Amino acid sequence: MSRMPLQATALTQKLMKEYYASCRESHARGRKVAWSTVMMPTEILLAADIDVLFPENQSATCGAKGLGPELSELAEAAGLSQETCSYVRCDLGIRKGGQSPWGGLPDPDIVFCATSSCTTVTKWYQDLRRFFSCEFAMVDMPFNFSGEITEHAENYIVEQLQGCIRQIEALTGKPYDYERLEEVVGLAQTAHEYWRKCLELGATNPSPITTTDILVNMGPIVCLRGTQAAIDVYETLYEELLERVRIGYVAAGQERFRLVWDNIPFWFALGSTVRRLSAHGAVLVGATYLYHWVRDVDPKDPLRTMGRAYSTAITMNQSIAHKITKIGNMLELYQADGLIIHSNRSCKPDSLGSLDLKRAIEDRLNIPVLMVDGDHTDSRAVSDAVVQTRMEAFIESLEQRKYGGLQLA
Amino acid sequence: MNDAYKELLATCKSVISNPMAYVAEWKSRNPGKKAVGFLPTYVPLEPIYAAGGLPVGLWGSDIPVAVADAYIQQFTCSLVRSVTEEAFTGMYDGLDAVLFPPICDSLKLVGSSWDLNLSGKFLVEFANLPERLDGAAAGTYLEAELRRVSKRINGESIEDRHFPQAIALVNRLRESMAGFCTWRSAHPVPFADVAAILKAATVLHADEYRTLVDKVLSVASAPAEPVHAIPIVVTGLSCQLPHPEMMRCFDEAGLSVVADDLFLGLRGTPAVEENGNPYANIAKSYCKSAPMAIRHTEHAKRHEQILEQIERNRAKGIVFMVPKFCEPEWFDLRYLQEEIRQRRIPNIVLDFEEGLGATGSLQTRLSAFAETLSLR
Repeated sequence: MSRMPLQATALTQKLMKEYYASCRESHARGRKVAWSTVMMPTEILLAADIDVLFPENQSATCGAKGLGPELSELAEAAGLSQETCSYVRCDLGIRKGGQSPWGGLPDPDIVFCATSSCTTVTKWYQDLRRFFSCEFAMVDMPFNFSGEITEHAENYIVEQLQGCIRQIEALTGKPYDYERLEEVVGLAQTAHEYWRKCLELGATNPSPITTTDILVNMGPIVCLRGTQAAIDVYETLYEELLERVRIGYVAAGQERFRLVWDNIPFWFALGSTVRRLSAHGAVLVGATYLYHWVRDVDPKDPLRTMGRAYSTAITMNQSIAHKITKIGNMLELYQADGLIIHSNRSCKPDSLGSLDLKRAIEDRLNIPVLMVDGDHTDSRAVSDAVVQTRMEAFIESLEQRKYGGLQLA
Repeated sequence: MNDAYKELLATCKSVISNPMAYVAEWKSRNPGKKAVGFLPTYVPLEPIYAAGGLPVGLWGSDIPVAVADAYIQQFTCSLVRSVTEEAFTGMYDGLDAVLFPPICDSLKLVGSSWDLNLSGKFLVEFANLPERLDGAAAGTYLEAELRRVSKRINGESIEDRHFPQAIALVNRLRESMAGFCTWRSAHPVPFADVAAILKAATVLHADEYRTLVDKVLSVASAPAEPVHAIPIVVTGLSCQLPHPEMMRCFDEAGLSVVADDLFLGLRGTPAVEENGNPYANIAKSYCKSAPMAIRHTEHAKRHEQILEQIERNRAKGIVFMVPKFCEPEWFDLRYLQEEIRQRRIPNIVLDFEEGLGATGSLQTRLSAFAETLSLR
């Protein structure tokens, strides 16, 4: 079957290009700009007509363009240790004059961070505040040890979101429009639902879409959920996937092994990783990372439901036991033959616990797991030869297991 | 040095050389009472003491890490790895519970791994401290969290009336540590001994510690001998209490550590009010604690605290001892160094990793630093 291009991808590219251009333009006309971490309920900013930009996305793009090492070196020369997250080093590298594939971001009037990603973001955003002499807002989201968010943690998050709204009022000089917030949260929820349905159609066996095709369509759910434009993209994607399923289209051509990826990808080696795997008929059909944007928010109680949703995204800010259950369920949904865990030295919260996860998935579900050491943007920290050898050995073991009749010891 | 000091030092050295032997001995003297281990740098000790228990600081040791490598990756600090090695090889089996303060990404996930793997041996619980100290919301949250933690450790039996005495006990423990630190600035003692005496404060029962320190402070001692060592400030170790012999490198390089941030978590929180709602009072104290890399605070800035220490003690330089793989400290280092360099204060950055194996290079670098300071 010939390759079917996705209209949604063209829509995503156009939308994101226009969004960045309009942010730059409207900032020049005096519209306020916020920089935010990706786990922040930025719906509260969109509702106040503040443009939101995400340094993490810019850093991921730097990674994909192979700029990680040179930007990191600039940051290291400016005194930031190589032991810090390479997303932060890319951002500081750009602030120190390095090249951004986007031509840089307009300076922020305010920066927002939420700690459900990591404790790193607080240090990073304090540095942004010092650098830009701008306002700083944070939402501390305590780690959820028991699988459930405690009532006092939920109240704590809601009170902080109210504090953020007071900071937004001070910045815009206008009373906050709560009706508009409800509207934005309603739109965000519709986008979440389409996003979820797209990911779940991706679990069809054989799969109508690969993880790479979904990754290139992440922009709107990360940056623009809460807008009609984001819904349009994912509605289109969903319809296209339904059609692919209907006609039995297999995205990867052949699908001998269905694999799920855990943790942020190696952005700088996404293409080569996929090519290596597909040479053996192994396809990345799912990624836990994409589920961070599967959330439930309710316009009738926006702050509380956002607080809960953003504090408990699938593999972050949660106990290892909870993560094992969630990822185990996902592997079953995707009928996965194997799990690849990226032990990402730039992301401790998504990586520590991986050894327990590996043991549990192998022992309880009898699904083979490969754990590879790496980094999301700094390719200097990754040995390409080692990754290649380990992936090939993993596929060989899958081959024996699935088609050679051997069982995993 | 007076006999009281010798007694304090000997007891402290003995206790920290084998904390779990002390725990076993204490438990035999206090049947039915709980020994609760805790990780750095701050957990509320008051609920433990309120139930008649013994809080025990877990700091690891320089044993080689092997078993822990099957549970946590090597990009975590040496303290976390060493303590995990001890826990997973059964060294803490004599404890009834372990309380984690999940203040950094490593402690969150490593605590979660202990919970998954070790909860059959002892209760693994979390004092889920707020990362921010500003604003009323953090205090209200922490009050509720402390109540939850206290119930989890002690059950329903602990009532507010059990607290004033425990609060007073912990306040006196802080006073003892502060009293000793003031005393040592007038009675120069090796930094290795200071580290041993502070470390023992986290193992010995607060009453026993207090008695030993009080004796030292109450004896009129001979005027201090003139100091030839160069006064310096050490920062970066607020979550660490290294092996005291490692800290002897400072003494042997001819450096006198006049201020440090060892175990700043407890040392840096102000006294808790004894009367009234105990949980609210403990939360209030926590929210006023000294600035540290792992806290977001508006009320105090870390570089101001360090500059004040340098000025008050007429220190000639500063040593940044930054634990390997500690992201928060490496972030702070960049900003602190900018502030320190602007003021032309001599400084040196040393990677810190627990273990006596590293003392050779530490010694060389500190001696070189001492030499540059002596030439100024």
